[in-house]
Amino acid sequence: MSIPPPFRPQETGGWNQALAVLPVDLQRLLLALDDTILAELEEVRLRVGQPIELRFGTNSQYLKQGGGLTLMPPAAAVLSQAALEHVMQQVTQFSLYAVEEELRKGFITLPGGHRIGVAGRIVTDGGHIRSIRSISSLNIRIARAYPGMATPLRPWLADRGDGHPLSTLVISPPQCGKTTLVRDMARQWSENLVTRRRSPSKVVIIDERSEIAGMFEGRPQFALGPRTDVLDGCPKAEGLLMAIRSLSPDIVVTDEIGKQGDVEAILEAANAGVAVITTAHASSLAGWRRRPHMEELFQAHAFARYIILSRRRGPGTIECVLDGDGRSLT
Amino acid sequence: MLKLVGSVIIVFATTLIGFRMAHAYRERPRELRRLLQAVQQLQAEVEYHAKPLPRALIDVGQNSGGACGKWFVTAAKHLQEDGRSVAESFAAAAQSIASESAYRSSDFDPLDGVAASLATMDALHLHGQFQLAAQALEQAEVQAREEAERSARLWQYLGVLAGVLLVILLY
Repeated sequence: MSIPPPFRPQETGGWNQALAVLPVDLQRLLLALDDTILAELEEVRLRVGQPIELRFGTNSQYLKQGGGLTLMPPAAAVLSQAALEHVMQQVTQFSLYAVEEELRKGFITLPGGHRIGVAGRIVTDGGHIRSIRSISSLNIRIARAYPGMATPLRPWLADRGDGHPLSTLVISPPQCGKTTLVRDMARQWSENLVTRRRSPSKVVIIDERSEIAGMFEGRPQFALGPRTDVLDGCPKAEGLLMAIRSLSPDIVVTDEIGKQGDVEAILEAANAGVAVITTAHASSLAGWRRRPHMEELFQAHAFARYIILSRRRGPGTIECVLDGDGRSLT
Repeated sequence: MLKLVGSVIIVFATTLIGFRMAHAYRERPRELRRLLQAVQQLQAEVEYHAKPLPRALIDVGQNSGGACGKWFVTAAKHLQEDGRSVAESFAAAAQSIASESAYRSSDFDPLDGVAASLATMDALHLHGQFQLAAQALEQAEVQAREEAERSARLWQYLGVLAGVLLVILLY
């Protein structure tokens, strides 16, 4: 049994917030597009000297000179070097130093939780990425939230006896909605919606890549509920231990586990009685167990629930829910 | 009687001009010290807090007050509203406060390097630019202080004596 995504996406700060970083002439061309087209817009791809590409799910078209969309590159509006520099200045707010750390990770977060992916010449130092220079392309990714995405999962997320949150791992290939799902799970626990608890759960999000909360200048750009604290940009393993020591959480939410350090920190959390909600890249539970270090977590019963996602019926399709031994519950 | 009143007015006016010039000389080292402190605050905002430039300029400007505070806040407004580059915003802001402060146009030169680098350099490399600007401002302050000691009193005397001389010549 699979559960399709329940709702259409809801814009966070609105795509116009993301498009505000573009030069005025490009903004005008985009704003002249039909509202239904803009509602489907997922990415604006900017490459110097190349047509400006708009991506809508599986469809892709160019922005046409003078307005509208086209599939013909000669008719498309081309991005100039000056326009790219303008976008970079707007995105960094004239402060490259303020986004150094984000640039090393390859993206910059905008108000509204939108993100700008950056490509150019990578400068390394001792094998580590130090910065990106000669930036040649940018990818503006429009952020959208799916409030209610975790609602069909409520019966499996809490202990049936005392309502205590259960450690949950969301497994899927990329772009199936893992992060979006854990974000909504964090919100629902924080708002005491999963199961009515007399003492509602405190949630801490360890947001290493600023993807879950989309923090911008210290404020989350997504609804996370009233009982959520965010450690933004914090390495997962250190953050998990820091949160347990200092923020007394009932639930710790983080993203994309995979390293030995993550395993140790999750086991530490499990021993401390803190539920961990997190994600991993894999297409199935068996695939996840084959990844380095992950079998140790499975054997230790670190997670009581495994949720498998796919794009089969749209991003966020819930394929199945498994218990800590890998038995299907759906 | 009318001559006497006229003479008093002349001496008073020239004395006032002399004192005003002396005040400008005395005020300049203070303004430069304030600018140096503001630059050091901006350096902290950039290097430790990694605050975006417009926000950092407004915060430092409001803390510093005076002409240099106004300079920073005006530069931030140019950045946010006019779409000018950092260097252009600093230059435009400097022009707008030049007439109402004791600064000379050369006093803003040490910050040119910082302004040109802020949008394009990382914090590590900006550190060097800030250090250079701070050293140049310290040096300018020392020179301004020496100049103030020499020239302020001279302008005061000059004001009074010029008035007296004018009165003698008129009589």
